[in-house]
Amino acid sequence: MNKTALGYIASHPFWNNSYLPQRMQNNLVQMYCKKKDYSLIWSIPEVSIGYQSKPALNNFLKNNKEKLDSVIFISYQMNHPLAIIGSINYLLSLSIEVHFVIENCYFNNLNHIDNIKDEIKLCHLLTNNKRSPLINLN
Amino acid sequence: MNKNLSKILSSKGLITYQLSNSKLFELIKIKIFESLEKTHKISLDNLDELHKFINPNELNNLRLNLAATLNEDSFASDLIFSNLKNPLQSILGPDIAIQKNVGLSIQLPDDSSSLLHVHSDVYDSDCSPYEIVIWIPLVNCFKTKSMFFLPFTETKSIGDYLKLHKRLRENLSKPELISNKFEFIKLSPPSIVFFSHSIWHGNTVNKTDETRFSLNVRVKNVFTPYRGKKLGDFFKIAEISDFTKLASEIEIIINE
Repeated sequence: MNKTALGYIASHPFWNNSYLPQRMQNNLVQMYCKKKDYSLIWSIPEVSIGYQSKPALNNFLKNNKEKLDSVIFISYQMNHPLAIIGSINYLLSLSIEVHFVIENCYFNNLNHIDNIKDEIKLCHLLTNNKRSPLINLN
Repeated sequence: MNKNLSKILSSKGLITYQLSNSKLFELIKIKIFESLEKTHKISLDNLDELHKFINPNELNNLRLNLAATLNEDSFASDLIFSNLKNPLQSILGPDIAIQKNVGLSIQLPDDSSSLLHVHSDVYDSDCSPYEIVIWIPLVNCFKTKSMFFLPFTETKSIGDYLKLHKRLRENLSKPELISNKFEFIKLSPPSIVFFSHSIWHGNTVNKTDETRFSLNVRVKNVFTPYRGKKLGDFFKIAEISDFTKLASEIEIIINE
C-alpha cells in the first residue's frame, strides 16, 4: 500500500522574498508525491502571519485520526528555522517522514538531521528577508 | 601541493588534481554499471563503449535515469566531497557548500545533440564567480572526447578575458575563430579538474570512436555571495566548522 502524505504549503512569501501562488505549490506537491508514489491526502496552507508559528499544521496533526506516513513541506523556507526544526523533530518522533519539495530532500530518522539543521539555519541567516513581510501590515 | 591549488586555479582558471587512488571512480562506475544492467539491460565492460548499445535518441532518457540513480540519497555528492575534502578546503576554506545533484555528461561519438557551445557559467547563467566546478572524467578524455577551455592567461587581464563574450557570441560553435588558444583537456582517472565558473569552455562533436562519461558538480564557500543558485535550493552544506555551527546557533536564537 502506498504511503499517505499530507501536503503543507505557504500563504506568505518565503524568506528569500520569492512567492509561489498556492495553485503552483499544490501542483509541485502533487508532482512530488506522484514521483515518490505516495498517496496525497490533501495540502493544507499555513495561514499564520508570522514565520514562527504553524497553527494549521498543529491543528491538523492534533485532530487527524487517519494514518499519516509523511508530511510534504513545500519548503523549509516557509517558516522560522526553529519552527521548522521543531516540526521535523516532532514529526519524526511520531514516525512521520518529513519531505521538502523545493529543497528536494527528506528525513525519516532523527539520527540523520544534524546536517539539515545547520543548512536551515545558515540558509535563513544568509537571506535578507528574515521576517514575514505581512507582519508589518499594521 | 594543496597550498598551490588556489594560486594556480586563480591564475589559469583551471587546475588538474590527481587523487591518490581510484576509489571514487570505481564506486561511481559500479553504480552506473548496476543501473545500466538493471534498468536498460545493457551489460558493459567499459563505459566508453556505450555507443555500441544505444541510439542517440535514447541517450537523454538513459542519462536522466543514471543521474537520478547517482543522486539518490546524495550518493554522488557525498562521495565526491569525502574524497576531495582536503583540496576543496584548501581552495575555499572550511565551510563548504556543494551542489545537491551532480551533473552527468555522456557524449556519444558523432552525436551533435548533447553539445554545450562555448560559454562561461558566470556570464551566461546565474552562477556565482565564487563557485568552482569539479569535473570528473569516468573514462579517458582527450581531444574532442573531452571539453575545451580558454585559460585566463591567454589575455592580459581578467577584464579583457571577460570582454571576449561579445566576439565569442558571434559564432559559439567555432570559438577557435576568436582564439586559437582553446585547449582540450587531456585527463584520465584518477585525475580530476577544478575550474573557475568564469572560464570560457564547452565541447564539440565527439569525433573519437569512444563515448565520454563525466561528472560535474559545483562547490563554493558557504559565506561567499550567491546569485541565482542558492543554499537550500541548489546547494547543501558539505561541511562547516564547529565554530560556524555554534555561531549560527547563537545568531538564530538572538534574531528570533
